[in-house]
Amino acid sequence: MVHPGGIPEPDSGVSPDGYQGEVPPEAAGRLSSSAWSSGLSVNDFAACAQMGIRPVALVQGFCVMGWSWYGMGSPYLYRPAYGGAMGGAWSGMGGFRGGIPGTAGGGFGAPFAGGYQSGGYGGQGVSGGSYGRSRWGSTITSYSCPHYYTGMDHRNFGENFEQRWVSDAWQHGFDTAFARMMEEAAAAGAHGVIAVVDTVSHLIDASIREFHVYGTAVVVEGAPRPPAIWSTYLAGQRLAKLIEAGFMPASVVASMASVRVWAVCVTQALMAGGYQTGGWSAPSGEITQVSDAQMQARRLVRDHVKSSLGGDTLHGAALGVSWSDVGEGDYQVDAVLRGTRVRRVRDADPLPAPKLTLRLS
Amino acid sequence: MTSTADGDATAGNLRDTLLSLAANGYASRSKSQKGSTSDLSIDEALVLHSIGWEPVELVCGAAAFSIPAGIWTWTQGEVVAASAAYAGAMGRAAAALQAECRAAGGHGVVGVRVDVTVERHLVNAVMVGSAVAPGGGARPPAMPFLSDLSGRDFTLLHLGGWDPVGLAFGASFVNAPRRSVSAAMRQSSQNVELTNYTEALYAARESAMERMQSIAGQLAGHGVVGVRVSEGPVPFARHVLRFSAWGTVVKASGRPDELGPVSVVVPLDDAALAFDAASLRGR
Repeated sequence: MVHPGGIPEPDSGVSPDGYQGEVPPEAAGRLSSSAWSSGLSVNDFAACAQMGIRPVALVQGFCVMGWSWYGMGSPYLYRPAYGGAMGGAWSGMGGFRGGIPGTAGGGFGAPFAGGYQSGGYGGQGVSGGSYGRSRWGSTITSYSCPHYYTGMDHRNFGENFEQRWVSDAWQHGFDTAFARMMEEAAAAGAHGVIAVVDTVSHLIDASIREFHVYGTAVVVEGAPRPPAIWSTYLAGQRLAKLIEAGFMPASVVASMASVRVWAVCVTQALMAGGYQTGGWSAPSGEITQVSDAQMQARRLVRDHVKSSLGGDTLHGAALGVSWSDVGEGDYQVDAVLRGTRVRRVRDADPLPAPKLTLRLS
Repeated sequence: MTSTADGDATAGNLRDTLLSLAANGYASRSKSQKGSTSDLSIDEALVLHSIGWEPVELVCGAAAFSIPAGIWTWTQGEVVAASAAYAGAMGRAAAALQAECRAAGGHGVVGVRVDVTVERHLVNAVMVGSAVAPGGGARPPAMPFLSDLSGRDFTLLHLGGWDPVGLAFGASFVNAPRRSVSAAMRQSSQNVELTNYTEALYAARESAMERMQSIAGQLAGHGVVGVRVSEGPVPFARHVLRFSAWGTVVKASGRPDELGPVSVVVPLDDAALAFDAASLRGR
């Protein structure tokens, strides 16, 4: 049902095109209530009201994901690269050096447990080759042992590996929660969703991760329904300034990348104080493999977001990175990039030259 | 520095603007098919835009350096290997950041956030910022500048006839000298100066500041602005005191000062602060 002027009726409960998605019946009932809800601060609400942006509902989406990465029995143990490196560990050459990682998200196995020569593992693993690399991830850089000796516990080979099963799970959790929020917004007849907040946290314990996305669904009074519902982390005066500057928010964007360092011998030695490199690195030397991983995680997440931008701009990006030392020189770097994808919709009038003032406060 | 837009920015007009954009289906007017990324706020993007600069790309530089085993035992003087690892990590991270900026076609990086963690065997330095370039497609320089100043500060410097050149940093790790038994006994339960710690802090500070200024000199800068200093014991080796400092190296550009006369504003609505010392530490 659409007003003559093109305004969706605020109390229709169903979007003008009749779209209801998977919104639960209780939520549909709440959304069709005559009173609206909003997550806006009073300042943001006032600024939006001035612009003709009217809240219709506080909308949200949840997705709870199981989060086991290297648990016993996990398919992720049998990493496909190099023909299933865990084959080496299972064959009894030294066993699990990091201990068997029973706790999900906490401990990680060290697949390069037994010493092995790269090249000697083709197709040997339990499930090697049966998974496509594109699904599980791919080697970004690899590192060879510079020494002429090998031993049972010598790490002849190392690599930085993009753990796509981790980033895919993260993306699935976020995208699903986001889509559910947008379904509610569509059901409320919204034109856009502003002041989006997203949280990713552990629910109950480390093996369960909760993705929660919420925001305030709004309509632009007097305007027709846009081709797609837009969304943004911004609200209030910052949103006003963005529009004033000639941009319109298109969508909230968030992505994640996870890079795992399987340490080569030199990395392992340097991470433990640097005297076992056999002269291959000075004390106080660079740990190239870890430097690379720190760069790669950030680049991967940025380039992933960038590849989907088209001619748009990622505005107000927030890059959050965490890393953990997994032991034995192994290392993991996780990067999350959030921001608002904005589109230039008119040529901005340049801001007048700033006027310098001296505050005596 | 304040800047206000003219009458176009009034809320009523913004309502009309929004309506006309919506009628147009928010169609893109972007001239480029290449997306850009930046972590600048809209205020910073606008103020940069006012001097003709635009963000190009979110860029980062990172480096990890090893700290040799055994150096955290309580000896005397500077912990040379730790200072070297710190300098190495910062230097490499800055170089990587410059390389990313160059690859993105930026003329420099503003708003660089420096994050250094020191662990027993590892120094991790990470720098993240937004690469920026002047509009008009001028050729990027071979050595883009780095600055931990905000877009606002960059604009102010630019208008004032100064250019950022790079980041200068210095750090020093120094062992607090052990006290003699008699000194320890004399000082116990007395509220007196512990000169060994004071001396260690002075030694660390002098080395760190000297290193920072020497880098500024190598970059052919005239000075360092926005210096942030931090000091304190190393958490896992509390007999070692660390002092670190970094800031943006600037030099006079030779352009005329475009700021003009300064107008004085006395706000009557907030409490007067004589001097905020904590701001020196970037807080």
